Amino acid sequence: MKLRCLASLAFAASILSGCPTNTYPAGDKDAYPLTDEQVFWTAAGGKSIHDQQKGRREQIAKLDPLKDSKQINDLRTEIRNAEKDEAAEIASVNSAQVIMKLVLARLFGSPEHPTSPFVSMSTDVSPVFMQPGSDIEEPGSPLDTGRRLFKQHCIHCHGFYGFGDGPTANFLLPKPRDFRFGKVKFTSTANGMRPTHTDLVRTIAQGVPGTMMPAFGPADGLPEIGIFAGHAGPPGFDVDAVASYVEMLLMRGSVEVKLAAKWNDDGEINKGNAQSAVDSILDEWRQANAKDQDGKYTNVVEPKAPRPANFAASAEIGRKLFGYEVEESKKGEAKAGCFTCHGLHAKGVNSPPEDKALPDVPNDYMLPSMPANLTLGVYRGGRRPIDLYRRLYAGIQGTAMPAQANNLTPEEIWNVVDFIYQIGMSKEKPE
Amino acid sequence: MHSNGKLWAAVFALVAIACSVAYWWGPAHDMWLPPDHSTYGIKTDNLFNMILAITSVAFVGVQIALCSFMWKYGNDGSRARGTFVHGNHQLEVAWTVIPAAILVLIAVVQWSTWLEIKRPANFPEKVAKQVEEKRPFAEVLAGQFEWRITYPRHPGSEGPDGKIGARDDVHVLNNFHVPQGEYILIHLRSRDVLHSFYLPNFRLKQDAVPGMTIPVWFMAKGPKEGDATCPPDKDSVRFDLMCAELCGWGHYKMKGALTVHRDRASFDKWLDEAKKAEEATQ
Repeated sequence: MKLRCLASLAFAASILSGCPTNTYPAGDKDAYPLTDEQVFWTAAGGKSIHDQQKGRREQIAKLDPLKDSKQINDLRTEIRNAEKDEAAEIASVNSAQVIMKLVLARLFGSPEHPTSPFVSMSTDVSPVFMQPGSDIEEPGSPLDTGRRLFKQHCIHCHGFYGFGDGPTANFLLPKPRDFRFGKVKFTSTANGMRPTHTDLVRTIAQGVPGTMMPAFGPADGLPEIGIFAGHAGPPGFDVDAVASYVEMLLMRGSVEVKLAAKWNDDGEINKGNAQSAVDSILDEWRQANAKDQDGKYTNVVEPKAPRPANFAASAEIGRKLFGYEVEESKKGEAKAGCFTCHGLHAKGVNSPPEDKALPDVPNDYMLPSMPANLTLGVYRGGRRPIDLYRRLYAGIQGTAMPAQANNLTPEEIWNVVDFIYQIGMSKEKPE
Repeated sequence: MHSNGKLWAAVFALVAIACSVAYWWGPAHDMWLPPDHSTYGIKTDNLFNMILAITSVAFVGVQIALCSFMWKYGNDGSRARGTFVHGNHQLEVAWTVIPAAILVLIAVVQWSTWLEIKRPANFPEKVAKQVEEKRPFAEVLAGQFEWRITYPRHPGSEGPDGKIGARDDVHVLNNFHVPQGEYILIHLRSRDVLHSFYLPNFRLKQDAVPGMTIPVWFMAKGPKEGDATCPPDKDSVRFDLMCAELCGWGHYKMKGALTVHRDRASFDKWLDEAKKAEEATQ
């Protein structure tokens, strides 16, 4: 009887004490693990190693993301396992990984003590360039606060190291961002450029509607960057700090990808090519975040033409450019060509088969493309006209959404934006 | 087998006494229901207190009986076996009929308040009219794990600007602004799973059911109704808006805010600013 009482008390105590919060998977809290997957090397533009993997990737691109998720998962696992074996084989005969680990640890620290070549890139502080490896982990510094909040709120989806492999990620589509690629979808910069710090703040503060990314912004919003309302909790959530930490993870990922590409191309990593890799990547981040004396970003997309005054006329032109319900013979006139992926009725991934949407174009994450259903009125990167303009102008990085900057004039982009608003009001439900 | 009847009787009695003391001590130290700013809140609170009174009487009576019987008749080894009794029919009828009557009493007493808050046909006339014309003040879309609020351009107005579904609607996230002293009708919808729209300071809780659009109303007391929700020296006051139905991993932090403005002018000013921010072309 007494033993049973004691046993039940012990059981209760163990449950109530909670799980330990400092165990990292892979047991390594002193370093971010190196990516052991060649998907990142090929993303870097290096040589694609195996034709077998190419075949698997093409298979994935052809599958239906909403119906064939089991097959997609199986194929992805096969690719991952095969590439892990390849990477392990190469690593055993090459000391490049050791050098990569050193370089990255010096620049970006470890999960418990992150550092960054840039201290803070928040909207009201100009970038401060620091020596690599400087220790800025004092409690209260943006990176330290960001790290702490990330560990509390973000890791169950985005994974411990920001690799998009948290336990919740298994249930989600679209998948949580994998920061190793150094790319994000919703940028205010042009195609191929890195995001600004404000882009990250915006995504974290307002969330991504239509996905599982919640809004974390403060209750009164961030009016200085055009976010008008936010979240009443969690209290004490410093969006800017988390954006700084995510930025560091993205930078780290992009440096790792570049180093891996150098390894692929040159056959080794040495001081010379490591330095040039790091410099070129950091330059890209500096360029994206460049500001003038008034603190305004200089390299963001600003429309070169004002938005048309007559909405209906503009949307009508936009409809033709989109190719909405365009006849077979007139398909060449749809200059923007949106219907080829989004479907003749703009339903994207929910299009009926006769609309022939979804060409087999893969995205970076070994998933089939999922062009948006534009009839739902859900705008993932933000619903302001300037947000839609930027999605069209610069495309969406890491996906098959192309940039229209060189294809459409600014007025034509506004026309398509207006048309998208128009069909977004149609309130049709997907099949 | 011996049982420690007297010890456990004392323990149970202590627990019961502690509960009773807590129910006296809490309200005396400002730990009771959250402040109520709703026009129908007083009715809900009165019902709550009535039920509390009834259940307190039952609680005290039952605890006295329980603890005294445990004390007196616990088996400490000195008693003979108990007598088998075939039951007492009158007693059983009594303790069935009396609680049933009390329940019926409670049901009857709360019926009109329930109708007023929940049934569109019994809403205040102005609100019922808005329900019929499908002209809410705002549409609240609950989704994992946020509150998406859509206002028509001029909420509460008669023309097309007062209806949701036009291009000039204002979309706001998590922070629900309303003016005080006005009937607020919302259309509550869910984007994915069950949620519950909970305003503790307005005694309002309504499940958001996926597939349903549910009309929900409340009014924040203004100066005309006596105790104004927002004092005249402040522009607005903020209250909690919480999710009260488990909806997933983020349920605990699915919190928004209800901001009550001093008057309609202050609310309109905010709405204009929100609309302007939403229309940014740069």
